[in-house]
Amino acid sequence: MQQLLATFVAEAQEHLQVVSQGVLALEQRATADDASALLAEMFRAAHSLKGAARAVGAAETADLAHALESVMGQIRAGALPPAQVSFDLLYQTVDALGALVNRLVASDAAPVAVAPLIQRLTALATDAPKSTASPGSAAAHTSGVSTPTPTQAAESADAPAPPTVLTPPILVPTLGADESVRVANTKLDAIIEQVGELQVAQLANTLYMRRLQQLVEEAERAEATQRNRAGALRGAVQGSDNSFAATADHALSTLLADVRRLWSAMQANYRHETQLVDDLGEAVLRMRLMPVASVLEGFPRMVRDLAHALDKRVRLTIEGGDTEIDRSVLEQIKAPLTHLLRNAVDHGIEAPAARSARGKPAEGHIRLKAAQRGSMIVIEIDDDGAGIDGAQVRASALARGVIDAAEATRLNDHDLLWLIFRSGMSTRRTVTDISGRGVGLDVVRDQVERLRGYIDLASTPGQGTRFALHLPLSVATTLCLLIESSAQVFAIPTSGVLRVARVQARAIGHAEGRDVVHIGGRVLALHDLSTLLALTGATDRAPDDGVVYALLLGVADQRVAIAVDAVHEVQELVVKPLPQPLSHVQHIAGASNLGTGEIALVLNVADLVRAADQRVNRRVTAPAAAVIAAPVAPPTLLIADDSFTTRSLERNILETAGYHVVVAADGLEAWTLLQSELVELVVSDVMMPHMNGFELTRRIRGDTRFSQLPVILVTAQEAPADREQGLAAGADAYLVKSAFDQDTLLSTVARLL
Amino acid sequence: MTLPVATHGAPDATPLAPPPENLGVDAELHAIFAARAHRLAQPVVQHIDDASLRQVLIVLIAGERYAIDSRHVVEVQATGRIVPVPGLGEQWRGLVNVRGRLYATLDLGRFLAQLHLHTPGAAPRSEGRFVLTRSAGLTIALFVDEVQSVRQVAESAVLPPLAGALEGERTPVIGLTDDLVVLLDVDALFQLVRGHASVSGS
Repeated sequence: MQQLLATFVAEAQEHLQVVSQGVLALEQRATADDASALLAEMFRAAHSLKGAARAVGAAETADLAHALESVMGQIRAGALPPAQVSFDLLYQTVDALGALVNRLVASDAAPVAVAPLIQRLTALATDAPKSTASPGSAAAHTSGVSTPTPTQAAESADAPAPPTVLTPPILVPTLGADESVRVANTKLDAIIEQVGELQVAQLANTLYMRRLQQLVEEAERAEATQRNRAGALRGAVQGSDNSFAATADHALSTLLADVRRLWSAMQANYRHETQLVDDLGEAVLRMRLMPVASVLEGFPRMVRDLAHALDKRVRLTIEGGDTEIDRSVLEQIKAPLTHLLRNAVDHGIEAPAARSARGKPAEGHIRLKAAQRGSMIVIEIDDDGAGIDGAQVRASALARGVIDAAEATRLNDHDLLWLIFRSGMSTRRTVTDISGRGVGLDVVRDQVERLRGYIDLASTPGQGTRFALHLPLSVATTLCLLIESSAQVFAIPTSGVLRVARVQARAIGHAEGRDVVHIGGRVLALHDLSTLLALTGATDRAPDDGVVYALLLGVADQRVAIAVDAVHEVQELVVKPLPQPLSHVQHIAGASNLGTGEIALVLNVADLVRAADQRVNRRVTAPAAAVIAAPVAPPTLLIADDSFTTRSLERNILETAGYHVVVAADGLEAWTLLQSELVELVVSDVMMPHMNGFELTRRIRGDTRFSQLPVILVTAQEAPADREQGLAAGADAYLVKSAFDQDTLLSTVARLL
Repeated sequence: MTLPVATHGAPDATPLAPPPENLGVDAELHAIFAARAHRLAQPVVQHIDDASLRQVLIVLIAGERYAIDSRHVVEVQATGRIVPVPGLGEQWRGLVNVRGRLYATLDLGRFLAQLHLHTPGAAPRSEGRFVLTRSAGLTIALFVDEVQSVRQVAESAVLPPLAGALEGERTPVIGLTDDLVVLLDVDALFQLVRGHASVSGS
């Protein structure tokens, strides 16, 4: 909630700045055109402030903003001539709103007398003469009015004395060095992408510089050889005319000297450029980092509500919330964390009576801890519940056909535990709203691995379970080892490569029908990468030089050895996801441009380790199944709202419920997003700049591609006429912000999807 | 009286051979007859509403011609290096790099063959072109043998497709022209591609 309040405060200050500047401009006799635009902007700012205030439960702020909005509406409609408006009253309102907003985050701030202001504003709006003037005509009045003195204004408003203003004006003309500005995600992402491209270009420069260096060295050697030969020739043919050879020697030396100077200058420039690109990359990395806490804030409430629904007592403690992690990683781990917490409450923590019977405190404890370990962030979810019952997992996996009887008898305790990450697994006998549908932990693992992270799991029956999500600190660039198999170059994140060994072919042993190597102090089955990936042209290993490159890959406590044809170099790569519609391909985490224009596929180490491990345990001899995994992504919802607070609130609610959410700041941006995103439902505000919610809905309904797309209008427009207009435009549901609550939104979304 | 004149495709007027002198026909009269004969030989103009004309890109796949609405075409590229992606179905050739951006490359012939809308050639094709094609926010590189031309097709001249729609799916074929060019429905094609990509690649 604190994060949401901070968001609201930032947004409210922007709205108040708009209103304040508008009042000032009106008072200073804006031209007719300017005044019309100003009034529209001020009205929208007051309206947005009202909506955002309601979203965070700031009732007084919402009421005062509503009164201000009413006055702005009357002026805008031409029903209230600006000459009759006390600008002091508007300033006092803005100041009071600023004070109210500040009180939300500074509890020691003095109280604000809101009622008298609302009374005066309401009287002003209600008593306005009913004019038939056009909306733009207010400006005409404005241009002819003189600024009233405070006394005149008070008299004209015929109202009690204004309340004491308790805070300084909130207008901040300039930003201090430590202050921050909000930047749209799209702008930030564009910069990040450009820097990524710059790093790729710089990588190409590195390769060109190496090649150029080789050429310069070759030229120097050729020049030395030429000089020696010419000298020998001059010695051998005394008295002859050597001027031509001497001229050629001189020309070559001069040319080479010029090349050396140019080379030297290029080297200096390249070093400088490299430093700049590195610094820029570092700066961008810092821009991407956000505290983990920003996604954790809704969890205590969620755990409390779930526990309450299940008649359990659960306490959630969060540690390390200030640990910073890449924003894009953060955005994608909320759903997995939500899932794991829901599982911990539903599956892990026992009912109070059961806990007491086992000698445990009636209240269960879940600990969520984030910490940085090297270049990885580890987020642990630890509960002191019942732990995972291996026998129950085995029975459930058999019953659901996840494993066969032979595999069931072969699996050890450790492997049994990992079955819970298989698709279709659940040990829950009954399906609840919270869990037990057999959908989930495979999705969690999938999402973590897509981020090039992995999950570790430990569980002790009767004592509890610990999930650890190991995630990269940043996904901007990834240090990768370039390897080759079946004439194709692949990249493997070095975080998953524990060792690279050059193994003599004769040192490869055979056991249980497999190739076996000693590596890293272990005896491991050696899997050919080309066979694991079912690469075209994969053949039995027969190295020409009698040498095999074996990589020891590790994820959590699993280790496998992979044979490849060649090992090249380690490079810092900008890894991109596979382009649509190839959303997820087994064993592949993404792709990277190597700078030379060549593309390397980046391997998913966790997938490879699992596939190799399964080949050992299941005695699989056929190539890995060539399939694309079924889509696992949750439905994508689009939120369009010009209020950052409302967007954040709605986004939080919907993401916590497991949806994937994209956001737009107005109707036009939403419409643009619809052209590129596969959206399954739209939640839109009504009053927005550029394109309002009604127009957006009409456009959606008018386009055959989106005619079936559900649209929910969530708005502060409460009048029945507005509701009718919304439904007439084609909205499927119309939710009013004053009556807005989480359950209504979620149930409406669920009904329409 | 004005005779209709074809707006395109009409051959230049070829003068008739001069009249044999022994016929005694007046040369001026002969010229009139010649001009009249030439005009009568012109194809009758069909006045087509511009709005019903589609500009299409004609591509060749294993000897069959397909038309892609030019509104969906981003650009045409000579096939550079395509990086195969293991695990994908055979309709996917892999990834291509176009000025730093990666695109999935769909072998249009193989994909249409999977839908029983094309007979693939016997020989595997390595040379060809890819057409960067966009629909509903998705851009895919369509691999084809050859890009032949850009031309206009009148909607009224499009014959219905030979094959009916697949059950529960839109057919990616709008219809045929009288010279046997298969007009593709790119939106429907991409819808099918998305569906096939997310269910199974093999």
